Amino acid sequence: MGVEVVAASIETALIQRAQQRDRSAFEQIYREHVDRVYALCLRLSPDASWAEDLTQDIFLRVWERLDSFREESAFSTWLHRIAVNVTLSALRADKRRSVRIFTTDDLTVHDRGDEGVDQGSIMDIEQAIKILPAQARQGFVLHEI
Amino acid sequence: MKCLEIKNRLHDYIDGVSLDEERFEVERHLAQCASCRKEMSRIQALLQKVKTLSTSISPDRDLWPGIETRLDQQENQPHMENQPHSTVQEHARQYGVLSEQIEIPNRSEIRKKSGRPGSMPIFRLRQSLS
Repeated sequence: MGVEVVAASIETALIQRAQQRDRSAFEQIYREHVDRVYALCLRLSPDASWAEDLTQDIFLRVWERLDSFREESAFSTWLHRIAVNVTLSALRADKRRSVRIFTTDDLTVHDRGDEGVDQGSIMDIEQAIKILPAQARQGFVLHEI
Repeated sequence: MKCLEIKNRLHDYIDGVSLDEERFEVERHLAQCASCRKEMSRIQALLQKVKTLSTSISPDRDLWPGIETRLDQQENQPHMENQPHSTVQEHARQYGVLSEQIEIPNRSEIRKKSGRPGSMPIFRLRQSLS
């Protein structure tokens, strides 16, 4: 059995346990997916604190909706859809805060660790994304990244 | 077609969503315009770099304890079925308005009245009840 098949069956088992309201299984699912959810939230949110709150909201929504996951799509796809919906709803609900405030804390480079990638230009791109108008940023992040 | 028009269409062209006629126009122009070819290369290089951005970023702190606390709070609430399920209902509860009094305009109504969705409130009180 291939590694991917084993990983998929482990995830399926975790999801089934979480659907039975097993918190420890849900925590493992959270730990597996939190970085991808947070990356999305961070790029779409006004600041890191907002992104953290949103990430928590998303996993709470996932917990509430787990019963509706039917394995018709990959779990990560289903989770991404919830993450996008929760994030865009939150931004729409609070347009004032969805205007990003620039601080020096935002200058952190999110290093993927790839060899040969020009980190200077990566930082430039991250900065450029941050100063896009809210709707343009949403379109860019959701479409291109 | 002028360079400015071509440059406005380059993103669609690169994404492969141009109509056939537009695509031919762009290709014809690119074949003879070094400036627009350079602009296209620049956009393609940028999009390549964007693809190298990380899709995984770790939060600075562990968010699980906060999630667990909120799960505990939800489970300890005795009558969840009586709790509001949406932000609109929550606002209604806060302002002492019955949720049945709230009317949410549909998309076609919004378009008909305002031309664009953002210019109307997301909900309003029903006139017959307010």
